[in-house]
Amino acid sequence: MLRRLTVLLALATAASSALFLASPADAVSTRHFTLDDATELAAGELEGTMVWSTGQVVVGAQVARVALEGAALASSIVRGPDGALYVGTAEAGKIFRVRGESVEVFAETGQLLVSSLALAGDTLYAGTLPEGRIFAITLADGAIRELSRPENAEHVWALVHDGRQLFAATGPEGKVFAIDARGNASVYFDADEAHVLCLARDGEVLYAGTNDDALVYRLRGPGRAEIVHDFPGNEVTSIAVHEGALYVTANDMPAPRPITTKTARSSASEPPNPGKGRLYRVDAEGRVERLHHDDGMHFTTVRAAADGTLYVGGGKDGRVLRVTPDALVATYVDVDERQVLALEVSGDRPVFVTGDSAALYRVQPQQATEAFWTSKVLDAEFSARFGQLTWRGDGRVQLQTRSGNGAEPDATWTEWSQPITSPGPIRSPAARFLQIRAKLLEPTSVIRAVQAYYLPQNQRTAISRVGTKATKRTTDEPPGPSTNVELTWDVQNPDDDSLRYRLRYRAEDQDVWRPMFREDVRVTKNEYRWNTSGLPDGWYVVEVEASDELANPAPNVLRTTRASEPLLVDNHPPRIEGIAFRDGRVSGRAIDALGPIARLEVAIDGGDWLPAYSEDGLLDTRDERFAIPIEGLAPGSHVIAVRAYDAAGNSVSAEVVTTAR
Amino acid sequence: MTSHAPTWIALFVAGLLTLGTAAIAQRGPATIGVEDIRPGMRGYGLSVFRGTEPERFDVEVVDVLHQFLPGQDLILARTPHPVLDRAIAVGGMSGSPIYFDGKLAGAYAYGWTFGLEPVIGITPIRSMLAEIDRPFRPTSFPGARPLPERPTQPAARSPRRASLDGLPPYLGARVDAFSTVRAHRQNVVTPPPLGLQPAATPLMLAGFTPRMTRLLQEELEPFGLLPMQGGGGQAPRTGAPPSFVDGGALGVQLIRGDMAATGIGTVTHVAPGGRLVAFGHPMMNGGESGLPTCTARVLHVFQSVARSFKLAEAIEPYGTLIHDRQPAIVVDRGLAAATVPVRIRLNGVEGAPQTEWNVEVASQRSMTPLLVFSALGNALEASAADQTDVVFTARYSVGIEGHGTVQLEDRGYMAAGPGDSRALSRLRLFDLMEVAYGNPFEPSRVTSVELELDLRYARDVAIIDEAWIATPEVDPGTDVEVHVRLVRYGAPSEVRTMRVHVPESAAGETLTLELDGGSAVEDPRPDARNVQDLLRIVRQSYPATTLVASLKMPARGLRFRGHVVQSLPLGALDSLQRTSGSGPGQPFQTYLRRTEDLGQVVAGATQLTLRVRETPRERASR
Repeated sequence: MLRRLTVLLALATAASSALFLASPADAVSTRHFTLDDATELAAGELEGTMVWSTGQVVVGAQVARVALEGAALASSIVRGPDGALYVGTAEAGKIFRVRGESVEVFAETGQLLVSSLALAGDTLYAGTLPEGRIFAITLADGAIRELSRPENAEHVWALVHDGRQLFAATGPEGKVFAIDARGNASVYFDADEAHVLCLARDGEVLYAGTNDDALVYRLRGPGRAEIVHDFPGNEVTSIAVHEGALYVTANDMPAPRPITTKTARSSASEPPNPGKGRLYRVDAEGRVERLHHDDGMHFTTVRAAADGTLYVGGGKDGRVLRVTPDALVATYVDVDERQVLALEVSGDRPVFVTGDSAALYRVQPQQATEAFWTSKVLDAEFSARFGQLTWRGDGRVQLQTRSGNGAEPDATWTEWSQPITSPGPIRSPAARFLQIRAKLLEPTSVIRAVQAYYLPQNQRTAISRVGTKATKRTTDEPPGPSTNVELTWDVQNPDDDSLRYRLRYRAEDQDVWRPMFREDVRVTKNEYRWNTSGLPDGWYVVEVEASDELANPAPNVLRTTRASEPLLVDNHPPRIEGIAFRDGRVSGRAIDALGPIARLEVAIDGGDWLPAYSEDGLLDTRDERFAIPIEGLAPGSHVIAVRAYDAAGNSVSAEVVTTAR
Repeated sequence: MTSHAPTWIALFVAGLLTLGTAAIAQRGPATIGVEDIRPGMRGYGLSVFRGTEPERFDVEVVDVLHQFLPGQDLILARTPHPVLDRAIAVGGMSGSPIYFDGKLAGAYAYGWTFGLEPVIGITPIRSMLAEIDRPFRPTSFPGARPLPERPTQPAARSPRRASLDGLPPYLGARVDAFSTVRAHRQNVVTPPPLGLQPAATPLMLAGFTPRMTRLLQEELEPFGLLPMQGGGGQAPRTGAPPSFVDGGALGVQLIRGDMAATGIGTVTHVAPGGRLVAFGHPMMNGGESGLPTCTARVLHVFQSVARSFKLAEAIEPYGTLIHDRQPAIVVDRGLAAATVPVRIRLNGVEGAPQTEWNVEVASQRSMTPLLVFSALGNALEASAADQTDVVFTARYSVGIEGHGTVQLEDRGYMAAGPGDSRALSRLRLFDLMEVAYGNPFEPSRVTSVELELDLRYARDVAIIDEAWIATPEVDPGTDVEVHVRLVRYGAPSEVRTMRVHVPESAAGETLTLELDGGSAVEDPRPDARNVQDLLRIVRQSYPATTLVASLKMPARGLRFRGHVVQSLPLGALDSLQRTSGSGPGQPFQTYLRRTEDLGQVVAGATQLTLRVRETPRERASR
């Protein structure tokens, strides 16, 4: 079975390679979507599957969801001594207690968000926003009291208890407070940054991560701090400690969108732009190593399990990453909520909570019984006819497709096609968008690559303007005569396939188009120099035909034409008749075959050409009379010359000799 | 709600009795329908030209204008009469009943501006009577009480929501005295100027200064009200119980007491069930209105080319305007409308003939703030019209049903003197009124207003002239000394120095430092969850006597219901700005503020740019 699949794939790959080789790079020919690396494979939806960084989709862990009714997001979690989970939430500042499937509101802080939790003995500590209050709650009866409100702190981002005192990481003044049992808070560390977002304890040493610079500090005592590392980006969201090494999530968050009336009043905001996430290891010697990065998702939290496996919460698409001790990364879990905001790994298996909206998930010991992998929506850019669907992998899998013309799958899309268990034709109808779903039928099934072939519908080119190339000319300069007309046209070519142009012309008053050049001349640029020396003067219309025959087989070729406005071809100069000098004026007629006369000039005795007017002061006809006054002639013989231009820049001059007294 | 229950039970019982009576008795007048009206028919109308007794005037049908308004025809008629021949269309005659063949045909209601002949439009009586039994929501008139000796009709609809008078709910954004009336005005379409116009409703003002009259004209004319200084205070009561008669004068009392504002019109028909119809057109098109009405006495019909109108004055409060609709207003005689007692005291005006005013104003969301402001401004101008600088301290308490009395104090400055009382329109008094009337959480109303205004004739204001710092480049994590030059009248300018903290997180940023008086600065406010939240929001503001330095930070904050979170790091901002569900946090720009109370009103504003070094100089030079 496996061998046959491999042969089929080899044949299909060879066929597709041949197709690509036979076609120009920009041809509208058969194309394919190929999903064969971890980024592409993990870009869709994972339901009971996980994607390893080596580019394998395998059956993943089962997760069990517990809804946290009445909460908008859950951002902190700790496990109690009896195994109960305590979850801090927003937007009513409630702490939930989850035991098995049982969920209850354990305490209410009256604040917006319980942003941090810590447990010491029989007391649960809760740090909150927006007033920087820290509460102490007795586990036995849920009795809650305000323990402390550190000076000028508005946000309590993290809490750590070392058995003697509580440490609180706060903003917006970037301080870590040490809080004794009576709630007295003293500044333990004052960072230069706005927020200390996370804390981690390793024996007597505290580590603190900051924003707006992504720094990690090592705190050895009150006021005794040193920078461990300055990470790229603008925030360190989480630090985990395992066997002397630090694991750090550092993000580069984009600047927020400008505040407009719309954004300030919107009832449901559009998804914010995710940041870029980085996961680092800092070993005991201070060496920093980047374990993983994702430019499309920032990381909210990292936790190290007892065996050294790391779990990382994602700020987009509800992802949890799993990083093995040998730095193999898997997209481990994908849930419907937008963000995974806190993880708890002290038990047998990870537990995590989510934001947007609030839920708690437990990773189950068994593998998922239903394992689906769904690709991201694949965009053919134009309506396309789909061909073969092939894949590489092990074990039994079945694939389905669906298609539609909207970017998001909805009711306008087709249903999932009948599943296929071996490569074969895609059964979804032609459309712009395609989505592929695979079901892994065996616990050991693996998918390594998926390819879907398609032929985009050829797109017709549009020509929006045909004219002459504009030339820069100052108004004082007469136009230069030329028999060449610089033609140019604008095209919109949606599919960017190769084009060739054919140009034709006709006299304005005729119907017959004549080709401008022979068929073997291949014009592929959208300009052409047209030599009109062999044409009689007159008005002509030029037609441009754009054809994509260079990129498409004959039945699919699309052509489009567009004609210009009438263009003047005037290769003959005007003439001057009846030039004479009388009564102090040089007079005569400037006549052009097509007209109008565009410019009249006069020069005396070979001097500069000076502009002159026609008799009526307007140069607007093909036959202009002139009577140009000549004053100040010194006694003696003079040559008076008149020059006339037509609109095409052709000129003629004539002169008369007169004697002044 | 609970507190209203006995009242509404009484209303309901009274209504059942009335309905029973109505079912037995022959109900309603003999009427003539539009279909029986013919051109040339002659009849008569009834209206009061002087005193309280209606007089007849002749009416001759010109024709019938079908579908003049949706579902409503209009009878065109001439009114040959020695007065009406010259007065043409008379404001205050609206509602005068018109009879043909001895049967009630409708009400005098429309006329042409600058018309040359006494041709009027008559609203057919059947359109008007169709409104008379229209039910109303019991919550529409909080505070109204049934008169035991008078019949009333029951409230017929169960309450579904608090009435907001068709305006958006008040959620804490600052308002002034004009906000609601102007918002309501946007819902009212003024008839085109060249067509038939409803005969204006003269609003007789008593005890108002010309400036306040003008202000009321600006605000109320778009509603078809014609405020005019016409006396119109309280006429001596006759001792007899008040009553309305067909063709008699009727007033709608917006203000009464030491000042008065009464809209004048005419009763078309008094129905036996306790209600009456009047006007023949809407007063303000306000639907269920709850405005107090009264009997009235006509002093004179003033004839004018521009606008003729009746000069009149109120006699005695009687009834409530319950419906303000297209073809008529409907008055329930058995219901006493709620009003707001307002007491105004002025201190610091030596020799003023009067320093205390007591009025009652109509209780209605769109109108009450304007009415209270007009009373306040009028009292102030009447006592102290000096054209000189005045600083004021306004201490006031506002009774809000269900929430006790709220006391606040505002200070301010009137550059053009007390005559220009518009500076008072921004008192938080008007925000409190909106909390009562416009909150989206529970029905409430203003039950009382007491206001004490201390005036001090002085240009006691510090104007921010300029500000500077030693160098535009500053170190992060340090305090920067900002010097502000304040200009005071008749005194040398003073330089105040404030210390503004530049946080370390601002390293490398270019920041704007804004300097303002406290009244110009608003902190972001949380979205309210209840009336108490709204009251807290109104209470929180910077006194006008504070100098506020605001450093505009790049960080964003988010507003939620009941909470404001400042200066969020970007990741947390992203998490809290959720996309699922409704009501996500709403973003705002974060400011770090420092304040200093100068003891006098601060005016003016300026701003500076601060370039914050990446690293403090000391550290950089190490």
